[in-house]
This record gives sequence, C-alpha cells and structure tokens, in this order.
Amino acid sequence: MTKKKLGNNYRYLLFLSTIFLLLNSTTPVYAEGLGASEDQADITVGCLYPMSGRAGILGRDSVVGIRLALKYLEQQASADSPRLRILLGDTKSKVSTATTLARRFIEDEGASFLCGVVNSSVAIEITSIAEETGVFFIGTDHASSRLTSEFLHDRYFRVTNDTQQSMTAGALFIREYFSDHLSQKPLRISYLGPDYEYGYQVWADFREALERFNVDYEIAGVLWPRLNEPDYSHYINELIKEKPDLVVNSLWGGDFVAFVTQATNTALFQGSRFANFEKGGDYEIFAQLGNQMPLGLLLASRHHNNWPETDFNHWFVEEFRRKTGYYPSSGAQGAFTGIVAIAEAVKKAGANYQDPTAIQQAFETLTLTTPEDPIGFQSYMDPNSHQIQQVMAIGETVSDDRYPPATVVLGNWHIYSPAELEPGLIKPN
Amino acid sequence: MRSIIKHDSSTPPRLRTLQRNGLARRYLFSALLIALIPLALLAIVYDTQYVRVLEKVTESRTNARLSGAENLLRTFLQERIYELEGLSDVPEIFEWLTSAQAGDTPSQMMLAQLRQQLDSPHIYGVVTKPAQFDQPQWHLTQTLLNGVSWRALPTTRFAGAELLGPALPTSERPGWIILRLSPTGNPAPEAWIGLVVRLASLTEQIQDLTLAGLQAPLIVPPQEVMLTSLGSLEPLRQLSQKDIISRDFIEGWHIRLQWLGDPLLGPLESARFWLIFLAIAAALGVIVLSRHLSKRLERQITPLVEGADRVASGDFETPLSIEGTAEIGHLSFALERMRLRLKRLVKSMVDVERRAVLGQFSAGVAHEIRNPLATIKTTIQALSRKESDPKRQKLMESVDREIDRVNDVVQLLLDYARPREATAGKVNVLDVVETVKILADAIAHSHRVELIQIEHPPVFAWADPSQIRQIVMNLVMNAIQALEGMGGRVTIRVKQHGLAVYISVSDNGPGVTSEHLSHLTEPFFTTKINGTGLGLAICKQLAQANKGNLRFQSVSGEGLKVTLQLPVYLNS
Repeated sequence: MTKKKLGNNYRYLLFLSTIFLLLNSTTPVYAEGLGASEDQADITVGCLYPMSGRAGILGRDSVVGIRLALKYLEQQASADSPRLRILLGDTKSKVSTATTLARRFIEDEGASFLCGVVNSSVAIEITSIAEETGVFFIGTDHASSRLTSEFLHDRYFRVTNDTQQSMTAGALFIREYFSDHLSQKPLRISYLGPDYEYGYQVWADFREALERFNVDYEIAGVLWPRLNEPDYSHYINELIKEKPDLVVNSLWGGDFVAFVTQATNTALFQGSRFANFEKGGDYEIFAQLGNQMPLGLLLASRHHNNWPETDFNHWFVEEFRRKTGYYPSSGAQGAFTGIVAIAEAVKKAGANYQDPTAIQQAFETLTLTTPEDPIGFQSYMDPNSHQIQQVMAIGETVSDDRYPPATVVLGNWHIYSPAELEPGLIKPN
Repeated sequence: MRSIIKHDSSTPPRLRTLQRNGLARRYLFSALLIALIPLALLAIVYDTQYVRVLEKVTESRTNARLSGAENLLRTFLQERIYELEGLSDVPEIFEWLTSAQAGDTPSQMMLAQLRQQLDSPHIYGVVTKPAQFDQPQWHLTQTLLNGVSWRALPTTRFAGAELLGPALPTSERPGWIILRLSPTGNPAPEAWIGLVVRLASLTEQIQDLTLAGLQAPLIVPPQEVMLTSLGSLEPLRQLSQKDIISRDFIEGWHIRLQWLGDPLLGPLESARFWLIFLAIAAALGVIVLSRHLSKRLERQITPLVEGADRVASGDFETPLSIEGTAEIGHLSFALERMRLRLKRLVKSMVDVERRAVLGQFSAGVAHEIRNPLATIKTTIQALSRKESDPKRQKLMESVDREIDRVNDVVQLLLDYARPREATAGKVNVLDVVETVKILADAIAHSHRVELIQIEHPPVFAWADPSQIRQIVMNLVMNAIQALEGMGGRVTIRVKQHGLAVYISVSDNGPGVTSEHLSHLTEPFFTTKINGTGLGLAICKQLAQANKGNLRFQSVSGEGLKVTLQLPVYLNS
C-alpha cells in the first residue's frame, strides 16, 4: 500500500471516528433509569437489552418485566431490602453498542451489576468486560451454555435456562415422543440454527444430550441462516429435500416468525415433525402469527403464560397485560427474575452487600420463587455452573384463544425437572 | 350451404351414397377438427415455450448469468477487502501489527474497532498476527475453529489480498474463509490482519443461478469439493455432459452448474411427454367416440330408412321400430305415426272405392237379376199350383226357395252398398237379446247347440232397435253355424260399463286364426262353404252407423267371442 493511500484512509477513518464520537456524545445511550435515584440507591444495575430490530420486542417486554420486579419488590419490601437503581440501554443486538454501553454503565454510572443481554455473542463480550472490571453480570435471556462453562467466572450468574438445559429436555422429550419410531430405526434429524455462537451451542448441546440418553439418530443436514435472514425459502427447500423425520430449529423472535410464516406455505410441516426446544414457544411468536401458526409443532420457551397455573404466574401475566394491554413474551419473566434475584442476593449479603465475595456467595446459594416455578418447586442456583435450575416444559401447539391475538398456544405438556435433566445435580436445602 | 349429397333429382339416391356422405361422418370429421386443432395449437405453443426454457438453460444464456454471478462473487470479496484495508489503516491496529511484542494485549480502542466488524452479518470475526507473535490472535467464536488448522488452508491471491480457505463446513459448525492483508503490502507477511468471512455469505451470491428441478449452482474451491449456495457441502457427483463449468472467478475457484439428472426425466420433459401423450390420447378418444356416435346414429337411422322404404313399396303392416335417442327417437315416432295414418288413409280409400264399385254392381245386379227372378218366381208359383205330380211340385217349391235365397243375397248386396240410416232411440238391450234367443233357439236346438243368456239387470242403449236386433241375430247365427256338426254352447252376455253397453256372443267352437281375425269384417271374406262374406261386413257397418263397433277375440281351437259396443242411453 502506498503512503499516499495510507494517508487518505487515515483521514477518512479519522473523519468517521469523529462523527461516531459526536453521535455518541449527543445521543443518550440509555433511555431511562428506573427505581431509586442515584443518591438514594444502594446499588446500580445496568441492564442491556435490544429494544429495536427483530429482537426489539424481547427488550421492550424485558423493561416491563423490570418495572414489575420493582413493583413486586416494593410490595415485599422490608427494612433490609436494598434500594435498586436500574439503568436501561438498547444494545441493538450489536457487540460494539453493547460493550460501549456496558463500559459506560460501569465507568460513568458506577454500576456494580450488569444484567440482561439476549444475544449470546454479545453476552460473551459483556461477560469478559464483567470479569475484567469485577462487576456482576446477571444473564437473563441469552442461552449459550459456554457462558456457564468455558467463559464462566465468579461474577457471572444466569437466571434463565441455558441451551444445555433446554436441549437436554428436548432430547428426553424425543426419546419419549418418538419411542415407537426409535424402536424401529434411527431418527433422521435436520438442524437449522442461527449462524452465531448461540446456534452452534444449541446444536452441540442437543447432540451431546441425544448421545447421553442413547437416542439413535442420523444427521440429515445442518443449515446456518444468518441472524435477521431476510429470506428462508432456500433453507426451507433444502430441508424439504433432506426429508428428515424431525426438523430441529433454534431460530428465535422475529427470525422464527419469518421462518414459520414462509414455511406454512410449503410442504415442510406436512413432510416432517418440527421442533424448537429453545424459544419457539415464546408468546410473541403466537401473537405475531395468529391463526397462521401451525398446529402440532413441538415447542418450548423460558416462560409460558398458560403454564404453570400458579397464582404467581397468573399475577405476573395479568399484571403485565394490565400495564401494556398485551400478554408478555418470555423476556419479561427473565428480566423480572434477574432483578428479583439481584435484590434477593443483595438482601442475603446483608451488611456486606458492598463485598463482592459476599454477593457471590449469596448468589451461589440463592433459591427464589419465580413465575415459571410449578407448585412445590423453587428455582435454585447451581453453585458450580452459576446456572439457575428450573423445571422445563415442552408442549405441542394447540388451538386456544384465551390469549389474544394468539389463537394457538402450547398444550399437551411434557414436564422435566432439573433432577431428570442432570441426575447428579444436588438441590440445596 | 352446399350439400355434399349429390344425386340426380329424377332418381332416388342410393343408400350407400347417402351413408358415405352421411351426417354421422360429417359429424366425425367436424369433431376431429374441433378437437385436434386446439390440441395441435396447444402442443405448438407448449413446445415453443419448452424450447425457450431449454434455451434459457443452455450455454448461450447461462454464460451471461454466470458472468454476472462471477462479478457478484468478486464484488463481495472486494467489499470485504475494502473493509479490511480500512481496518488495517487504523493507527492503533497498524501499530499493533507492526510493533506489538510477545505478551502485549491490544488496547480497548483497538478492540472497539475490531468489534465494529463483528456487527456485520458477513463477518464471523477478526484475526490479527503481529510481526513479533508466533500465533495469530483470534477474535472469534471458538466453535468455528474446531477441526481447522489455518496454516493448512489453501491460499489464493486476490485484489492485493490473500484468501485463505475455505475452512469447509462440518456437522458442528459452518464454513468460513479468511481474507488477510499485510499492512506493509508484503506478499508473504510476518504481520497481517484478516477478516473471518461467513462462507454462506459468499456462496449465496450464486443463488440466482438456481433453476428449481433443473440446475443447481455450486462453488468449487481449490479443495475440489462442491459447496451449495447455502454454504453446505454437496456430495461429489460425476461431471455430467450437461453440467456447465465457469472460468475461475478467482484463482482455483469456479462455479459449476449441476444439471439435476437426465432431462428426459426432468419435470419439464416429463410434462412435455405427458402433454403429447394426452394430446394423442384425446385425439384417439375423439375418433373412437365419434365413430361410436356415428355407428349409433347409423344403427338408429338405418331401420328408419328401411321402414320408410317398406312403406314406399306398399307395406303398411310392418311397424317401424320406435327407438333411438332424442331427435332420432322423435323422428322414428313421427315416421311410425305417418305409417299408421297412411295405412288408415289407404284402407279407407280402398273401402270407398270398393263400395262404389259394389254399389254400381249391386244396382246392376238388382236390376238385371231381381226382375227376371220375380218373373221366374211368379211363373214357378203358377206352374206349381197346376202341377199334380207331387215330385214335380216338390222340385218347383225347391226352385222357389232358391229364388228367395238369391233374392236374399241380392238384398244383402244392396244393404251393404246402400246402408240404411240408423234411427236411434232408447233400446232395451235385454228385450233385443231375448227376442233373438227365442227366434234362434229352434235352430240352435236342431244343431245340438245350447244357447245361453246370462242374466243381467235391464240395460238401455241409444241405437236403432231393428239394426241392433239384426246384428245380434247375425252374430248368434254365425256362432251356431260355427258349431255345426259338433254341437256346443253359445253364450250371450250383456253388460254396462261406463258410458258403453256391451253385448257379447261367444262360442266354444274351433275359433278363428289370428291371420283371419283382422279380415273378418271385410266384404266377401268368409270361412264358411256357403257363406257370402257379407254378414259381418254389414254388422260392422250397422254398428258404426249406431256409433258403436265390433271387436273380435279368438284363440284358435277355443272359440270366438264377438263383442258389440253401443252407447248407453242417458236420461238427460
């Protein structure tokens, strides 16, 4: 490269960087703060969610979930309850935006907790920042199991299910649901997952679980559409061509809606069974697809509006609807649990709440009741993996118009407790 | 419209000629034309379109599309190289690549710059290799590096940069390539920066070359494997003659347009085959159907033509078969009605003619025979009175009786030729029958015939009493004569049903054959040796004169039953 060209490029980049810095300095990176004021707050939590684009609904619902958590904490308040200050930031599902926001929360706003993050690739970057800066990162909606294994550090805890848990439940479900087929021949499986960390991890965890449970399977094909893929027709044609017995899909949010909308006009759902054990059963999917949602799909999610039928879940769903006029997607319950978990851990640490070690210990022994806990079960933190342990529910799409605008939701539930998913796991007293 | 039936109007057309030029054949040809012309047009249009589609996939057209796809691929890579150039020119990165010492870590500013790249949907990550480092630094999801040794990847130069890869997709992860650039422009660099590019983002540039069911575009990288437009591996297949190979869009990389199977089995060719098959089948179907219809028409029309011929040759007795559907059925019905009317017309004309002849004849006979007979009779009677010889007197009496018989015959002739007008009035039918019975009883007895009258309440008819008596007497006498020499039983029944009165005379004699039955009322037709054949003819005439009729029922060997029907007498 010539020196002249180098100089030109340098000037060009300098100009771009200036524009970028100007934009960042004039536009607020976080829209609002919730809870206690800066002066009164015991702790500051910086929450990172995508609030625009295809995943925007999850972020917006998460903010409502946070508001509900603050209301819930207010109702349960005691003298030793911590005062939380919540800062919200729109990551736009971008690594660069998310990392900039995280650093600002920590460095400029004094946040000692980060929470949220839907995209697993973004979460890996954020967890490294948390590790580097020593703040706690409470993951609520990203699911890659690498965050609780390869990238695990003392300050990271996740309060929603990860890919390993959901895909283990999926493998158990397949062993049970396809038992007749499996007694005769292997199950031909095609996988289609988003082309990033999360998609790879879902697939890896699923295969590992199938092998762990001795499910006889063959891989008919593996496809990796990118995040926000505009057209799935070539992928759908390829899946039809592969003629698998089961299509396992791990798209989520708007991507899953786009995929199912395109697939309903093809022979895909007639030729093969279709499953998404991660977030395919999220209410936002049913609400967006309405009566286009096919029946008989095998789906799961991290929270269901119609399961479990407990007072807490009913309160959560109805309170959300009262505030917004619509029913919540699963992100809301994740964010709710995240904030409640932080408050609970801080409360548990007591006077030592400024001591990270005390907070860490509080989290490692945390048990709490969440809207997705069935009667007789309480979610609890695994001190080794820092991954919350919850009951998994997989259902089949059935007609049900109790949650409009959705006309189809999940039913015919198959329930799996943490002990079934990970037999060696010891539940704390 | 010009008729295709040509014949000399003075002579009737021959049936064969008519059949050859018949409606059915014209219908067949018309139907064939109507069915086959659109079929032929459809086949031509389809074939033209088919050839166009074939042209579309032939080399001449495909080459242009291939060139377009090659440009897209090169442009995609070029754009990534521009991004890479921009990145390598960032001072922090440039400094990192050229001056970083082993153990150094990149600055936050530099990492922020690198993260910007990760927001692109086409970029998996960034890799940097400072000059002093032994190993490159990967800013990338580790899963993507599983099973790959970057040093073993094929290297291709392109637009001032180097392309490493592709790292082929596995069942665990997708494939990718590295575009690397040296900040110093050194071709075998110690320091370099690379973008890890999503392989599917490159391969999807050829998606537009897909012709569903006909052609699948594939990218063949230096490893000589085949990559689909979705970035997955396609099982290796033998190169087919129909496959099209592009030139290298970058060194060692080319596009292969894979022909999906034998075109004869391709969906278009299959559709073409079925269309032609259907066209031929439809044509054959039309021919068979038309022939069937033609035969059917012929089967229905031929008996009508034959029947019309029979009527033309004077046979009014053989009925026409009233068969056929719709118009043909109507036609045959009309022809049959025409035959029956013609038959009645001809019969009545013959009857009228016969009566006219008989009238003239009877008048002549009456004039020419009766007068001499009267003279003879007077003479015989005079001679008889003077004759003393009883033998001769007996002969003369015999002559006298014969003269009376001749006179009776002449009277019958006159009665038949000039029938007397009926003077209708109230007739007690039982009285008439009883009178006849009394008169005929003696004769019946002499013929050993039992004459029976079945009892019935009084019945009144509206008729001429003397003519009714004449008819009944005639019928009873005929019945007795039928039993002559064998004896038997004659039964007279009277009955009223609706507005008609029925007097039936039946015997248990030999009866009449069905052949003779329809001729019984014809004048001069008789089955008796001494009969005149006028009795029943006159009876029928008298019955008709009284608005009645005669009906004959017989089973040969079981007797004959003759029924006279008369209008009932109504008080009003």
